[in-house]
Amino acid sequence: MGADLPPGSPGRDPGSPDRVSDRVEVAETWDEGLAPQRTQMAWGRTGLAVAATLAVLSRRVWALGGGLEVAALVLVAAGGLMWVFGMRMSRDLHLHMDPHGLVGSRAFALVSGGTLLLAACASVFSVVLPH
Amino acid sequence: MSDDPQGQDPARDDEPDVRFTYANERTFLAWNRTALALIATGVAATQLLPEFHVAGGRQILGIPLIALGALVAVTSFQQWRANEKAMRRRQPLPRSPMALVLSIGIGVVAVIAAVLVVRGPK
Repeated sequence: MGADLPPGSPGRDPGSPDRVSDRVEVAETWDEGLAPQRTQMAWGRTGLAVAATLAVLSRRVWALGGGLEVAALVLVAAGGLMWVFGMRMSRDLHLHMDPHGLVGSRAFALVSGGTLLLAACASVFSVVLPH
Repeated sequence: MSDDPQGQDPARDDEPDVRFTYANERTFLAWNRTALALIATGVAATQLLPEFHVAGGRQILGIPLIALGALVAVTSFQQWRANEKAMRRRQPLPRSPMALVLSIGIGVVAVIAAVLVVRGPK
């Protein structure tokens, strides 16, 4: 960590402000650089990974038959929707946060939960269901 | 779950540099992509590979990948929270064992795959 790091850098004592309003002022002086764009692109890449996973799982869903495909489809769709809601929640927080840094853990919990639900669907499809 | 990773009043902690917050978010997303890739690969292994001589060979190969993906999904969130908490309190960032766990897990799956390939398809 160099001496020219901005306030708020880990490992540095910036003489932090005590009041929230002071903190907002400090936050406005930070130069975000290209961090928001890079983060947005990371969300896009992750979205593509989710789409690919949904496609692989959906291929399995349609092979089920016997009415099971509806229940399986609901579970897979729920996993995808949880991810989408998490992403939107995070985006809204980024747009409206003041100061900017406090990203809701609820959004990331939703994203992780959606991935976990997809993993659960994948496990069930792979173990229980015949090829 | 509170928006504050510490479960405390956000005003009690220092707002970190947004670049570090964004970097933490991107790291979380990168781990999430890894989890999704593991899950998709696990499903593809059980679905697309031919039958092996070993009974349930495809499941033996695919299920650990899916389980590893689920583990990575959970720990990525925990790691994000721990990093956010440390940054707000100006503490050193916590170390994560997940890189080691992931390396060992993928190594084990590679060994399983090698054994299945040597035994050959049915």
